[in-house]
Amino acid sequence: MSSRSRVPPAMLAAHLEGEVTLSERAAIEAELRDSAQARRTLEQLRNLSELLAAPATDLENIDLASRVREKTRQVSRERPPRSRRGAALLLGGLAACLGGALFFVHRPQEISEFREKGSDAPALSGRRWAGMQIQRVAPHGNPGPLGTTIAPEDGLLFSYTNLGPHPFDYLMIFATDASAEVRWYYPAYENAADNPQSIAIARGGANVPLGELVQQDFADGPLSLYALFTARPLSVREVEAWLKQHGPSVAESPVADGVLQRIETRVER
Amino acid sequence: MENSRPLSLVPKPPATTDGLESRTDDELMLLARGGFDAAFATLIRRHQARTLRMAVRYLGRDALAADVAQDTFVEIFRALPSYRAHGKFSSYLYRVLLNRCHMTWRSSRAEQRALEYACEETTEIPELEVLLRERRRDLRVALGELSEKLRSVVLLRYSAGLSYDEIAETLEIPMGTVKRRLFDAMTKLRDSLEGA
Repeated sequence: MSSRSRVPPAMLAAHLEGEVTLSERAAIEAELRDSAQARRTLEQLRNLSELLAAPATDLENIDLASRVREKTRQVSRERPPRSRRGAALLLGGLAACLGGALFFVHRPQEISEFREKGSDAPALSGRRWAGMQIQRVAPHGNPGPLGTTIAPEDGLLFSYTNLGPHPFDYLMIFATDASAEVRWYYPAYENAADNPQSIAIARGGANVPLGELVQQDFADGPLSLYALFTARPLSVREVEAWLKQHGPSVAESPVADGVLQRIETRVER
Repeated sequence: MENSRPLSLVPKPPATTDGLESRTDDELMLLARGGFDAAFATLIRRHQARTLRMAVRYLGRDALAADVAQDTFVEIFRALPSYRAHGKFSSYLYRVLLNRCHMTWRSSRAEQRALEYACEETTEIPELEVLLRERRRDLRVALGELSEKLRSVVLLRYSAGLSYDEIAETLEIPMGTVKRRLFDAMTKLRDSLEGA
């Protein structure tokens, strides 16, 4: 029996992980039988892996979710750094130059008048640029710009642009069709007992995709698609109540510090 | 107006927070993006032990590790609108975490060294606990002597518990490189600890 090991420690580390070939394994096991040094090295490596994997007991029970929630609220109240906004503006400009289907929305005049009378909220002190972009996806087809008509079986892909000196923090996307039914896309809304809120959006983004392909069997006739950008989250019920009051042809945001965009198309079989 | 049918491919929000634990990471991210805050909290709870463990092994200090883990999840929350659900959340999470660990490590290294050998014990503690603390301190020093590349791999493997595939995906390197770095790192750590 030898006290010195001919197997390098890296090979023993691989053996510990089960990452050796059959012939290497046989050689290592023979070495472990013969060499006290090899056995000691393997034991040291095993102890080391256990030490690395040991729980950080003082730390792992903190309420990280609450800390993150508090921090995200704090961050959403802060304005983004100037340099990032500048970069985002540049990206947005490039996107527009490339001819992307951007629909910019200007702050409605009524909001401006309301603010002049009653509020000087900094969020509305400048011009805002935000918008939703929609792509139509035919079954088994590639995405293309939304046109004046879509087929009932078409899918829709949404993205948004949120630029300007005072970008928004929240977004809702929904539609009304010929049956006057409200169809909620963002936030998702299926259970009548729920009352989900606007989704949080990134500031300074241009053409930020929302990911999922929306597929619904739309009713034939006019289809209005809405994007509602706001500084605070709104609930589905708030917006539905407002739609009920003003009708589907509404063109203004339900809140003074928000912007509503409406895009019209038509569902045809 | 009537409640409408929602989208097919957005996960259906549950009526309560029950059952969130059984959702995949991607489903929780999509629910969080849809405004379901409890989904993101569930995601944090699911991953917090391993992210905190990895951060504390990397940075060597509890307070820094907690801040880095917190900022990692804040960054992910802010990027929710652009998240693409491809079943790679772990890789995404640890890529963000590692970047934050690297940055924090570099900015705090001088202070770290000053604290490395600071005497923490002011009261009587059992001998076994003293040995364990010494062992952890030696490990911290040994990890600090590794290159960032080796440290990242060994911590992703043992502290975060990622598979080789996940490490390769996180670091965007071939799996063979992952293994080589891991075995190199373990050898160097062992050498450092035995020389300590």
